[in-house]
Amino acid sequence: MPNESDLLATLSVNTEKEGESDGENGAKRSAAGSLGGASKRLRTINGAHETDSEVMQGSLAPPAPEQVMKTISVSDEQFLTLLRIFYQKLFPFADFYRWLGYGNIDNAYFAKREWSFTLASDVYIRFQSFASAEDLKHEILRMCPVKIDIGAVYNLQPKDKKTVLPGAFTARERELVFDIDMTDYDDVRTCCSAAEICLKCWDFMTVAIKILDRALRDDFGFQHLLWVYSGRRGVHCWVSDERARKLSVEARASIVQFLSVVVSDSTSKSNSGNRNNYHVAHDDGSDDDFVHAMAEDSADERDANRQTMEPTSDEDDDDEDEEDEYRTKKERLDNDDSDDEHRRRKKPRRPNQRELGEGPPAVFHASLRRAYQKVLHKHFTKTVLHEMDSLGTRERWTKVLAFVPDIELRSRMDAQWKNNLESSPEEVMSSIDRWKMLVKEMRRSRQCGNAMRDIIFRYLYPRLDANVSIGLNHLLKSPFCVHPKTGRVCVPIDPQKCAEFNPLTVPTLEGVVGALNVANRRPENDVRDEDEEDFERTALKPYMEHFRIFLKQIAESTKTRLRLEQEANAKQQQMRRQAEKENRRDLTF
Amino acid sequence: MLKQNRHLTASATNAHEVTRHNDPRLGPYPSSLNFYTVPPPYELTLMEFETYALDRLRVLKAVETAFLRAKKPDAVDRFIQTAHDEHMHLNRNVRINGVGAAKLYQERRKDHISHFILRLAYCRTPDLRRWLVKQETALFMYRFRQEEKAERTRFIQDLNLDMPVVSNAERASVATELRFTHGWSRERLENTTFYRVPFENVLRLVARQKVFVKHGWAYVPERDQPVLIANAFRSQLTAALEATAKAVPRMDEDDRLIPVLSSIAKQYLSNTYAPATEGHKDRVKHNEVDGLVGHFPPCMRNLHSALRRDAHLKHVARLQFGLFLKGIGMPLEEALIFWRTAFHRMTDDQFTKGYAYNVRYNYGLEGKRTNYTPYSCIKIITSNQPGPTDNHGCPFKEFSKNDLKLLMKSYGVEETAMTDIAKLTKDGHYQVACTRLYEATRGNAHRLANASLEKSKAEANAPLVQTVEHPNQWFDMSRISAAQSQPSRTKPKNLTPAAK
Ligand code: SF4
Ligand SMILES: [Zn+2]
Repeated sequence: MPNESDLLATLSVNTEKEGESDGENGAKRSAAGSLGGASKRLRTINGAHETDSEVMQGSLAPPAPEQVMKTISVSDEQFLTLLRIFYQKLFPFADFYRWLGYGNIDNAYFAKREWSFTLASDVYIRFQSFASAEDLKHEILRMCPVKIDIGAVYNLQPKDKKTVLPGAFTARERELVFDIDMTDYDDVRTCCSAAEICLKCWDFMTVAIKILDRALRDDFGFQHLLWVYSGRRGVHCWVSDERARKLSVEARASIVQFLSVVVSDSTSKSNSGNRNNYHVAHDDGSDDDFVHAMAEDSADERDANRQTMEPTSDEDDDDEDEEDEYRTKKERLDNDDSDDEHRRRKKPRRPNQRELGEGPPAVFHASLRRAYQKVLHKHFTKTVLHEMDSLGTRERWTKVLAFVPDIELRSRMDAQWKNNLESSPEEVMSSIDRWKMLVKEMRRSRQCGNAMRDIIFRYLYPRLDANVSIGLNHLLKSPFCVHPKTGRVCVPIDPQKCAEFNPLTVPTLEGVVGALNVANRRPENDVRDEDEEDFERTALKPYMEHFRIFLKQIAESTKTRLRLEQEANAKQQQMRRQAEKENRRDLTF
Repeated sequence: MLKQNRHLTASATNAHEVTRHNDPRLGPYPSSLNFYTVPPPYELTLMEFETYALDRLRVLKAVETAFLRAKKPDAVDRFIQTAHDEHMHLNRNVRINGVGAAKLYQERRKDHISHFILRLAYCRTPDLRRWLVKQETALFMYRFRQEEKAERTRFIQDLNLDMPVVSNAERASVATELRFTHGWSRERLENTTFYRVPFENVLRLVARQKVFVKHGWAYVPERDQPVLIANAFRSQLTAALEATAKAVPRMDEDDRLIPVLSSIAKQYLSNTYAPATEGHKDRVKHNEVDGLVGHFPPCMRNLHSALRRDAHLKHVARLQFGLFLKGIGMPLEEALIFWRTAFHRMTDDQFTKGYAYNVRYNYGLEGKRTNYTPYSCIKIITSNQPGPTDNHGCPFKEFSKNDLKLLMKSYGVEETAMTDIAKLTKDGHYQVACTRLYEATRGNAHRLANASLEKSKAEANAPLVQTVEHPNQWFDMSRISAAQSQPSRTKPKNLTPAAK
């Protein structure tokens, strides 16, 4: 073994000596194209990157306000003036402190939270932290950021980041967050594109909220969910339960995968005989993948034996009465399992049976099935067929037909619908008519198995931005920010009433500040109730109330938790005392 | 070592004695499986200590390689089996009469002891701990799969893990959900035991939508019990290793062990290179290097081309390349000429003052006069992180995607292998990627040269070559197989197969 210290000694001697010779060779060595140069280029880029982040941190000291103003236009200036009033009078700093302090059990919890600000000059400042609501307010008023992001809770106050070695500063906890953005739906939207939204396509968001809200509560048992309009074309969700905040990165990734479906390719599926109709998105092949895969695979092998199990009667899963003229109950479940084929052939249908029978149903994860029954199925007609009119033109129906595995059926439908376009206006089929026809035909086709369900999932199931949810140190825009482009306030959405939420009429910066001015000018408003707050005079009122209910529920959970802990402690102590007493008694004998 | 560890185990000392299925001859080892909750109470010789540890290490390395290289689960098992049976053979209980209880006892004792030695050796850094946990868990699960069902069940019962069985009433209340999630008939559902655990314990099942979850609880069917066992093993060992790490500083009392332990831990970090054959003892002359570049692994080709381009190499690069050349058989005299001519922009005086010392140093003639050995891959990959103007290091780690692609092209790698290599590289498996490169470009020659080995390897389903651990190993394999697969050529060192 070479002796390390000795090697190191010569190393330093030699690097010194090489100072000059490196200089003279430096230029030649950076010649591109050759292998050595190649690796070097890469490192330079990395190097540049590091410098960038340094610059970013270097800019921690906020630029003087004059400097900011110089770079922006007059209307922006007006925006900033309103924004400052908004921060001064309306932004709920105290409530934020209540929220992110989580009962202050750990009294530095709030202070260890990362905040980051985007200034009007486009300067982006990370790793800010504040000890109190007043601190936060003071700094926000001083900088007047056009965007506020909330990051993770670190092991230290993020503003002290530079005082420790790089590895010693780490993200510990964060709410489990979700980000759903309308642009991810562009391939199924027919009304608007990119940043635009309208009430029609907002339906996709409503569906996403309904499904995710239920899954997070019922499946994972989370209780404290804050849904927030992102100010333009999407929604965020902040799952704030203690258990959610403490989730590892792996756990977050698993939840995201659980909540994502990528419908398998219908055409390839029909040949492969894959039993799983829905595949989770992005398999990251994590560490213990194989251990698990092997456990599962062997299980799946055994599973394959179930074909030998006795074939049994029909099943009907429906616990909900839904008006549905073009599907019998049977099709709600349309199975593609070979097993099922077998079963179908052997036993006659019993369409009126209300319960799941004895036999094996096709695999349909309970969570997906529930989303399908409670939300997707209903919304498909309304959102996709009616609002989006997704079978309305040849271009649109071609997209849908592409998911039909039966190629012959595909072209038959296409021809028929094309013909129909030429008939008289009152005879031209609607999207709904075409869907009914397609469903009927698919039911007849041997190859189509789950194709109908697949199409519905493909069009409507929530599409998540996985990275936002997984990374512990990812930032997400704070609720109650003002979107600088639309002027809309990022208000909370009540998931119970999400169907009524209209993103086009949410309070705007101009609206709320204006309303406040008007209200405050009215003489009868001079005397106000002791604890009447400014927001109550604006359209923010119902949203603030929803936010406070959310806060109250968190506070109650915290209280319950503390009480249970205390009780447990007390019980333990009592037991200990009891034991001591008995010991003493033993001694006295 | 054992004394100092006792506090880690507090109450469990007699756990094994109370099992119901004890054959007294097996002592504390009623099963071939072991969760290692109790440290071994034996006196060991230093010799035993070291060989046990190294044997286990060989198996763990095979486990690691198996998972990286084999694509199918049963191929993984066959791969592990080869190394396992050779270094850590463990007979199952059914063989008790066949081979005798004493043998079983001895094997299990060795398994037990070697596990605890590696715990001591690998507890020091989070990286080492992670590595050990990962491989030990995989090894445990391999053995678990090999064991018989009855033995497995008995073992699990004795473990007494915290995973409550779902009551019949509760199962009935979610029967529909369970049946749809798994696609089961009522009969099958009713005959299946479910365990209820926090969903965080079975993340992979959750991610794959293979388990029903309700209010944060996962309902795990008994067929997925291995997942629970693996997780239990993993978290148990992780906790134990952290405890050991805290306790280790107190071990100083027994200072004979420290050097042994750290040399064991280094086995993970550095494989010293032992020449594969005698034939390699050829002397390589200074002017033959360019002709041998075709047999150089990427790291060395990179240094060679940098040297030719710049007529210079910086210090660490000189060490890396110089020791490699020494390893392929270049004696000191030749090395001095090689470097002198390579640094041709320099005056004699500059060279003698600044660099000749270095060359002699490599050969142990200066400084501490140690006969330095060539750097292993791990050493190249993990030490002396190269800066922006450096050329040393492992290209798989240091190069950008595109540059790596160019480099692979220069080896004449085909598309499919290229994708493999890119993927392995991306996942940080640099040596495995390098091995793939070798197989893709030299596989045929290698196969021909090792024709006699072929049959036995094919049976074991082992890969063509073991993972590259050392640049000199790469060089030797490439050179020897090129020479032997083309017997008409007599002077192997003139072969330059893939140099383009
Ligand atoms: S893996 Fe080893 S031999 Fe291959 S390039 Fe990297 S350091 Fe060289
Ligand atoms: Zn729209």
